[in-house]
Amino acid sequence: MSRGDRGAVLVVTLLLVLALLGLAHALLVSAEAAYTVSRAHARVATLDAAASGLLERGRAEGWSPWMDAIVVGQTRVEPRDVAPGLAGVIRWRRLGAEGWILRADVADGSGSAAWWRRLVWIYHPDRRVASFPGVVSVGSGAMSSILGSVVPDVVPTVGTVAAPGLGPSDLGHLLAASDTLEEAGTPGPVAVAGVCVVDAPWNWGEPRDSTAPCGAYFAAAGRSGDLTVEGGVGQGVWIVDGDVVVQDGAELSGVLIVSGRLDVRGGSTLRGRVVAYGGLDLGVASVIVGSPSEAERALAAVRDRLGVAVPVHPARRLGPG
Amino acid sequence: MRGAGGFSLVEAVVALLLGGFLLHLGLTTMHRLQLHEARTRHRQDALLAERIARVVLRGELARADGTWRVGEDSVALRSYRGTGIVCGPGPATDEFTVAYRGDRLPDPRKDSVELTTETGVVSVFALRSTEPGTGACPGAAAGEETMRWSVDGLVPLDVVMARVFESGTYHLVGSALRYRIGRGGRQPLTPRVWEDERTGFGVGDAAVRLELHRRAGYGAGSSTEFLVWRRR
Repeated sequence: MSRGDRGAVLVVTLLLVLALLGLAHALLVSAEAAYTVSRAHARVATLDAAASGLLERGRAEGWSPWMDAIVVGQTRVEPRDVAPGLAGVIRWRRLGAEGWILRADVADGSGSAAWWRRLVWIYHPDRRVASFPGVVSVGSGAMSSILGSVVPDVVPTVGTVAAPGLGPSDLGHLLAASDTLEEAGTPGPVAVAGVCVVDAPWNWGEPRDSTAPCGAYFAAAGRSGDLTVEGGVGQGVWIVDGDVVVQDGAELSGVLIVSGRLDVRGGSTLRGRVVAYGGLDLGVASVIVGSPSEAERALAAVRDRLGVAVPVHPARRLGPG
Repeated sequence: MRGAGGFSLVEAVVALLLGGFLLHLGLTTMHRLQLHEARTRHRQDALLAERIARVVLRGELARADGTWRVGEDSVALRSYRGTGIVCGPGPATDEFTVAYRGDRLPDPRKDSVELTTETGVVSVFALRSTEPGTGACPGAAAGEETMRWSVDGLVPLDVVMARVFESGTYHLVGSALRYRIGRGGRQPLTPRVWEDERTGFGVGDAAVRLELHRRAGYGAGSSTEFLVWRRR
């Protein structure tokens, strides 16, 4: 090799090193791109799951006292904690007396966001009382035997319903939200030192004296199976997926929803509204008094427990905005 | 230089051989790179097609109204196009005002409207006409357009929501996922990457699955199966 050619080795080596560096850089860029795509996918999936979870949380919270102050068309925005690094917002847009669009938005610090929304229904006491077709509502074709008396009010004594429940809120929704009843017992107010013991299973409030310790307490109780009420007094909303016997002079006021047969006997009295989907047996000297005001009071008092937000549209996603 | 004269031929031959070898090496490498690039592009196309099929079909069935029908290689459905929040009745019993937002504006020539009442009662009507709303729509959010719609029937009194649909069918034919509006042509939505014979839907009582088998050149032998819809 002549003296003048010696520098070529260095140049060739440098070019080779540069080529290798370029190759390594290309590999790095490729790996970085794959990582960025994967991270974006993970972020989208996380935000979507968080928004879906937040929507279910909002739905489970159901009715809140502020809802009565929201007029149709108005939206209430409520921030919620979701997870570290994620900000959540629940929007309640009122569409009617009982219809709402519930929307959950979740965003992270990078500006990515996801949302879910559903059309939900939360009962309104006025609307529900007005929806009962009779003081006693029975299923189509159910046989009834009325030897006692049914006192009508603004609606006929007996009407027909398509299903036992409270509007779109079926027995499943209502039973899941209500306290569980034992098979048989005698209800009555339970107070200790002037304070109503709301945890007592057969404490269904005091319908005869609104100033008594349990005068303002209303039961929201249910049972999957038959129920027998052996005398006693109570007020509230009861949901039973089975047959019910009310006997021994029991006095109940509010709303009673029964999927099977209702047997009222022994001089017992029910006030408010009754659904006896499987039919009614009303014994001599027993009475069912139609009272929209007592039914409405009971439904209003238990809204914080039974007022779950029921999805009323079959689509899992309603679409944009 | 006389003594070094024969070396020119040897040098030339060696240079030719070396040059030919280098050229062969270069061409072979280039060919392999091209093959590799094509294979990567095809795999990318297959992944893209699978992603499109997953997103489109899952999204459509999640937003659909439950009247869809699934065959071995197609889904016929009323395809969602937008939602209007009802903000008031119109002057006639078949009219109402909505705050609308959707993928596109409603078109009475091809769209139907699904009306939902407060208690969840759903009824379907043909959309007769649409026009810009004149009054305010209380509670309309940003991006929602106030419109007055007319349908071919009596609007329920407690209607709160109106969703717009067009009839369409998704087909898995010609190696791709295609969409067909009404009786129109089938427009491809994905690259042509699947084998027609084995690709299709699996319909159960509570779920719809989609099985995708890649055709030759796109990773033949590789298949993907995913849940398109599940009863809840």
